[in-house]
Amino acid sequence: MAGFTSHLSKRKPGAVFGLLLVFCLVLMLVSNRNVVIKPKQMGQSLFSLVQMGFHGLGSWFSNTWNSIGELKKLQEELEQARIKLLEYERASRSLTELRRENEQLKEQLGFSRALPYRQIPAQVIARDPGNEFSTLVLNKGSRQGVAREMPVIAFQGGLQGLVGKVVLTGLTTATVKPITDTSSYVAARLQNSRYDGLVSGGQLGTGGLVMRYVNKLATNEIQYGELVISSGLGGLFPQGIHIGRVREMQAKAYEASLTLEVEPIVDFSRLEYVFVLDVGE
Amino acid sequence: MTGNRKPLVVSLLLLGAAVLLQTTLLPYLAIRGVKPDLVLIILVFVAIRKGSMTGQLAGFASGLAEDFLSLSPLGFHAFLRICVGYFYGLTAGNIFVDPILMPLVLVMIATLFKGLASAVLIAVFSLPAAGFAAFSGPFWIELGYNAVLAPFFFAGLSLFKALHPRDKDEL
Repeated sequence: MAGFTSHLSKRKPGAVFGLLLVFCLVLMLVSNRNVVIKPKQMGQSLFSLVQMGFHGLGSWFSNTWNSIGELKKLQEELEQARIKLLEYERASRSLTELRRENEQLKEQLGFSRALPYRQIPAQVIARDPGNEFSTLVLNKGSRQGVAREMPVIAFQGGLQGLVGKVVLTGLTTATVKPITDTSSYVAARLQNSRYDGLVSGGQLGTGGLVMRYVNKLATNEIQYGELVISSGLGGLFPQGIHIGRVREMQAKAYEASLTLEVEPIVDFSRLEYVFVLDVGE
Repeated sequence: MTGNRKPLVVSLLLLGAAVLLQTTLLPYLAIRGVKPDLVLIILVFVAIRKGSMTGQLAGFASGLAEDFLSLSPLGFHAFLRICVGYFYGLTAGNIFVDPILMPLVLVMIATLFKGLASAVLIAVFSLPAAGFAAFSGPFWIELGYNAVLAPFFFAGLSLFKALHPRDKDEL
């Protein structure tokens, strides 16, 4: 064992190179057909433990750095806060009243449940190591009830936006394929004009989505900025989740349908917290 | 730990840390969504210093780790890294590496090779790569990013005694 690499180096570097290449090609062939999902899950579970450690370390450094800068601000703000405290005390009394009234109104209107599904809150802890593929890694896995094919949403800018679906689960982490991935397809509908289509990811770097197979009759009805929502067809994604807004429309004479460029509702570059939906129950 | 195993172990530790950095902290430093490829930079350095065997073994292990953490099929990154590790290792002891120009050129060539090989693998195996287009805008950003970082990484990695160049007959 002591001279393992030396022994190999002197005798068979070319042979080892060939063997490793063949091994990788076989792995790709088999892996691409989803036969070896278990080793990938095991590997993900193993590496995710270290990933979580790195994420924690990074967060700690970031928080500490921010804290130093904030200390100075805190002193100034403390004085201002004291002055405002009395004001807030008065406001809080009326706020309690407003909350109670709000709760009652919500119950009356049936808005107490925004979504009729079990939700598993999760945090994005890592992303794909390369630029060729796009994945998000969440800090919740099969132990918390996350399973493959579960849809993932996020709340941003007052809207609930579709993030993607779970494609791989480890014990404590899950890998999500975002809707911006070119191999990700979502049955979608234009919210106002009600035309159906299929949304998939655009090219890397643009961060956009493309909605295809929209009926040409919709040309005069579609408005820029119109919301695109999930239609629920196919059963994978629940109906009515916001996907994006129409940014541009391409109507080519030789094509039977329209192609729309869609700006995602969710800003994936600042995505931190998401909800995994259990739509099976 | 013997001298023969130490370079490989040190390389694996460095590459492992780079893989984890790329998945956790580097997205914050991405330019238009494109991250630099730290694993590639470190692998080029290791291969030209320690030869083909160490280069390809380190490339295989780090590539496999990336495959576990990526949506790519197992073997995709491993294949690319093995090739870089092996071919760059063949040049070990035969080229003079100055502090700035050679790291930049070597890493640029490695990135170009990675782009070309990725395109071939994606086409041959019909892999569902997200918006991957050979030699498109994001690729050139990555190329520039890698090239700019290379001299700094080479300078930093030179401090590791285990990665100092060995005699030619040992490579």
